Amino acid sequence: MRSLSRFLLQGRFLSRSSGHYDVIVVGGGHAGTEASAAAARMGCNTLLLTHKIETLGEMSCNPSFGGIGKGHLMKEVDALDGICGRICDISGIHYKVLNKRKGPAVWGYRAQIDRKLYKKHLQEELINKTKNLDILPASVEDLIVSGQGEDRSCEGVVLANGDIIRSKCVVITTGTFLNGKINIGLETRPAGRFGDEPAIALATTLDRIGFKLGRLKTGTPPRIDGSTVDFSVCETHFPDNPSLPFSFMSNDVWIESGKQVPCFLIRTNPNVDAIIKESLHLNRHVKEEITGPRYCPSIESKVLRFGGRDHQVWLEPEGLDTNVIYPNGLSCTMPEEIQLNMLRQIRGLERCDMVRPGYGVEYDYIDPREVKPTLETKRVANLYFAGQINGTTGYEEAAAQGIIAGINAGGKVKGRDEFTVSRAEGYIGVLIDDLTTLGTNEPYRMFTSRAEFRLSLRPDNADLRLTAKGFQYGCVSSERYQRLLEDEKKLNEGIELMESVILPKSIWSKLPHAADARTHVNRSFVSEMISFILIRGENPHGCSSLRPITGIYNLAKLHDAFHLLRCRFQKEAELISVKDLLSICPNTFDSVAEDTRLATRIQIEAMYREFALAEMAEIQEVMKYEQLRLPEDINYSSNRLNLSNEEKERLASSKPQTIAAASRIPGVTASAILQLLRYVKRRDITLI
Amino acid sequence: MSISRGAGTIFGLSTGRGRSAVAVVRISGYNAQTALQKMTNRDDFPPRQMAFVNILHPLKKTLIDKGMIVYFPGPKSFTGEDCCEFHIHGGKAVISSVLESLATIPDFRPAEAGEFTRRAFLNNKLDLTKVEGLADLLNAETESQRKQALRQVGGDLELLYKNWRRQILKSIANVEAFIDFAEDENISSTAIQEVEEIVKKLIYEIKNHLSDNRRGERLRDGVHVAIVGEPNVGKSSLMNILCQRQAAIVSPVAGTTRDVLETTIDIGGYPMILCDTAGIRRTTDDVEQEGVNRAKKRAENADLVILVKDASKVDAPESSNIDHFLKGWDEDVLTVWNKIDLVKEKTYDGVSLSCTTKAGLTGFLSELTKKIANLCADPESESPVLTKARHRIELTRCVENLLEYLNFSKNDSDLVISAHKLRTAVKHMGSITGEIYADGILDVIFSDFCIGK
Repeated sequence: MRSLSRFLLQGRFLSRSSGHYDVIVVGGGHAGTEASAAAARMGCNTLLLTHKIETLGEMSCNPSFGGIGKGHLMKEVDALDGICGRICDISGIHYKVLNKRKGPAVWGYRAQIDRKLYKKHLQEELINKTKNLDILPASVEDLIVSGQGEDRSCEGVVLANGDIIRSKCVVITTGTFLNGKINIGLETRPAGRFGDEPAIALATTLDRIGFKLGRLKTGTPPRIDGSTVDFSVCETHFPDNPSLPFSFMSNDVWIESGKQVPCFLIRTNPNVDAIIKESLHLNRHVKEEITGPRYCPSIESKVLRFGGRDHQVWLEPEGLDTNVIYPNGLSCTMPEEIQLNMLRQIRGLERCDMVRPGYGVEYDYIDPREVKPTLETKRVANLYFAGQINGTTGYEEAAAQGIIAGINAGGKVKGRDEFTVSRAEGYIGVLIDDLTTLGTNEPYRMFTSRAEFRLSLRPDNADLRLTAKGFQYGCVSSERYQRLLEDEKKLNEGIELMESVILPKSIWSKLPHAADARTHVNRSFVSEMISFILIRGENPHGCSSLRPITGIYNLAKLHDAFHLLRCRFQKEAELISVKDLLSICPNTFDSVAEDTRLATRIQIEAMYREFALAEMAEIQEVMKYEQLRLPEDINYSSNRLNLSNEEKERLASSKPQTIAAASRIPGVTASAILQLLRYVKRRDITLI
Repeated sequence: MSISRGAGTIFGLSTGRGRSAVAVVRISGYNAQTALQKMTNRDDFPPRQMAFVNILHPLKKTLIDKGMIVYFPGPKSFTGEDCCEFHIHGGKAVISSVLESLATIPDFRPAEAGEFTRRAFLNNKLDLTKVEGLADLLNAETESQRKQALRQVGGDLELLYKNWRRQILKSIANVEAFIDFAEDENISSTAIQEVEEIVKKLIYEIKNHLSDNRRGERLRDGVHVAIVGEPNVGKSSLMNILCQRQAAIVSPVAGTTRDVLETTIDIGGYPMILCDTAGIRRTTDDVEQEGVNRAKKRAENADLVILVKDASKVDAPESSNIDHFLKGWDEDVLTVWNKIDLVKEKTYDGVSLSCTTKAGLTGFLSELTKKIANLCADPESESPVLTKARHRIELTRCVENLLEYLNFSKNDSDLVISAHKLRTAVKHMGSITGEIYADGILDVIFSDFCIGK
């Protein structure tokens, strides 16, 4: 009893008998922090259990957040009022949006993060700023599971010291702790991350319940002392200026571009290949045939699979006040001295010192088909899994699951319906649907190519997609909801304004450098023309806008300003921006042009409008099928369903929750879907 | 199986491929009425009332057929959505031009297997008794039909389509790799240049294929039957007997018929377009050679071939040419031995007659009627011509999207939108080959590119 209350932050008193929470979250990584914060936002009395307070919010591998696809997830987590985006906006040291030239739908918001700052800010957020949340440093030894068979439910946890804490829901976010093993060279030892003890009893309990497990491996590169690197021979990459924040709540990042630090690009060479090939017999991790990721392979697997090429290595700073460099791309598991030798073959690293060797991790994960789209397990009610334990890799994937598990645990306590995000609503939906429907046999990482509605699911509109939904459910603060309403109003008014200005193409083409502009046009002439064509009118929102007198021109030759925003200048192929339009309509668009963020959003809407509308029809159709739930007790072997053996097997192993999910399982045919539809519909009728 | 293509307005032939006077083309979707607006001269469509109209091509406004239309606004319709029906003449030409016309209307597309039924289900439109008969319905609408359709177009075409699809997938993989990994990994823009080359080549090939396809079809009402055979076995005589008039010039000189002659007749109640063709043989005469080519072409596009053989020349060695040509057609060929009046000792097997004495004619006619009835009665079979029409719609849309891809990428505009065009193109190709889901893109990416850090 004393041991509990002593470590409890916020001074709450907890006793063995009164130790009762709504939601307990086990694990203080990126899934656990989001889950606990979300449950707390839902108004649930929440306890976060982590080994040590100091490791709360630890970035255990790469010192960066976001990227292509991953940035999308962060925006969505933020739209649901999650914390990682906001913390990154005050902890980053090099902000850069990837894919800037490939279209805003696939912009990858990314930043190098100062590890210490991130931990510091995250801990402040959870300890000082999050209501309803207690944090206790303790190891969880076991789960309290009551009931038998189908009716099992989780009612709390047992700590290592034997204390019991009861709760209505438990969220497990323990990453790689299940049978975790660390490999360097030929050495291997059991561990989760460095310093964390694997919880044997918990693993046994999960095993006893019968969760299907798989095994994965991953790795981390050695760390380098930056003071021993010759950066002068490296390719320098600077952050974006201005730097764009992750969070919809942040107007700016905390640090101006000039004060941020650069990253450096270097390349491997044939010497590196040779060392790797010569040392394979000393490399246990590579030899073992456990599924590793196809896309985040160690330098060893890159050399073995794609030999004879040079491979990129990014030198990423780990913080403002540290020299430690993270060589992204050099994840390896050979013996320590060989790692150093390998590093020193690379130009720029000839005299480098290694701070810490790289290593490989093997671990068990739970087949994610064991969980529902809410991330509650199918076998045990009130028990949720989120993060790497479900077979994913990456902070963002973990955070995305964490927030969904936390919201649902909270919702369950409050007696709400489930909170799920569909594939048509967000990357979070794609992630969770892929996992829960198809499972995974490699660490699952988000890519934009996984999303079928990529033109609609953009980083810029994550708030429009999810914030209101989250607010209605109770996981989004009213402050953020207000912000959404304001932003949405500004956006709609801006678009309306742009649409209301309709001019003949001949005038638009007089934009300086515009597509057809051949002659320099005197601006006063253009203004005159405009005053001739347009009359001023009041729009319902009270701001004055220009109204066209149509009929003078052939309608086909007229364009509204919104349309112009998806056109490009012929020469540089740059998009025509709101600012560019100022030369034609100086006063009309001032308010929009001044607000850069708004102007960008309007522009992106203009670019994708046509396609997003087409996708919308498809999305609505899919949503219909998403709403058709397959009952959990459905018997796929029943003769009434008349399914092929292959279909029976596939459906039974992934237990899809909806007709839509069933249709995405490879090998399930159209007629099987119709049979399932019939089953669902008939059941509905019988129930009525 | 995917339901993500579910949106839009769908159309399909609702009647089997029977020799029916009337065929019903059904349309379902939110803008089903557009079809009526664009393909008739009316603008008012009172619900559930049949109207007799001229059916027009939606763009060219040329007359396709005269028939009945009816409009069922949702939810009081088969699927619960807005529906309409065209009741048209049952001929293949008419049906396929109506289908192709519908495909030109924006947001209209051919229904996928089981899609009408699926929509009806979703909208609670099928009651339990109907549901029990579902299995039959499925057979008519689903997988087996698609497979059969592919079988009809032949193994070579299936391979061709699958190969095209693979190439689009490869292009998608390149573009997707460039989107997801180029920025900070080793993917050069040559991946994109490669796509441009593949896409250009595909466009060329598919367009070529489409124009060939078109030339191959001269469609009329009814079952196409071609009379083929070596020169002077009595093809034209047989045609004349069947037509009961002198449609073809008959002469004892081999090679008299140089072009294809055709006429529409009624056999046992089934409409049949009978065509007489030039005798198939090796020839040095250019004009005759052209006739031979046409004859072969005609035979290839026919539903049924009547192969006429000379009973008096059973042992003639020259027969290899035509037998080779018709090899593997089995079911689609009715062999008939002519000139039995000249034969004393029977050395042939199968149907036989004499065009001169009319002996054996009744037996031949009943065989012919049986064959045609078979062709018309099988509700599960879709005629090759209709299959082609549907495939052509998908191929055309595939090419359109490939072209748009080129346009978009040429203008250096949004790569995501260009990628979307490729994704759409592969869906169209996939709905022919039955591989609708673009699985395996990531597999292609990871096997072709070294990705990861």
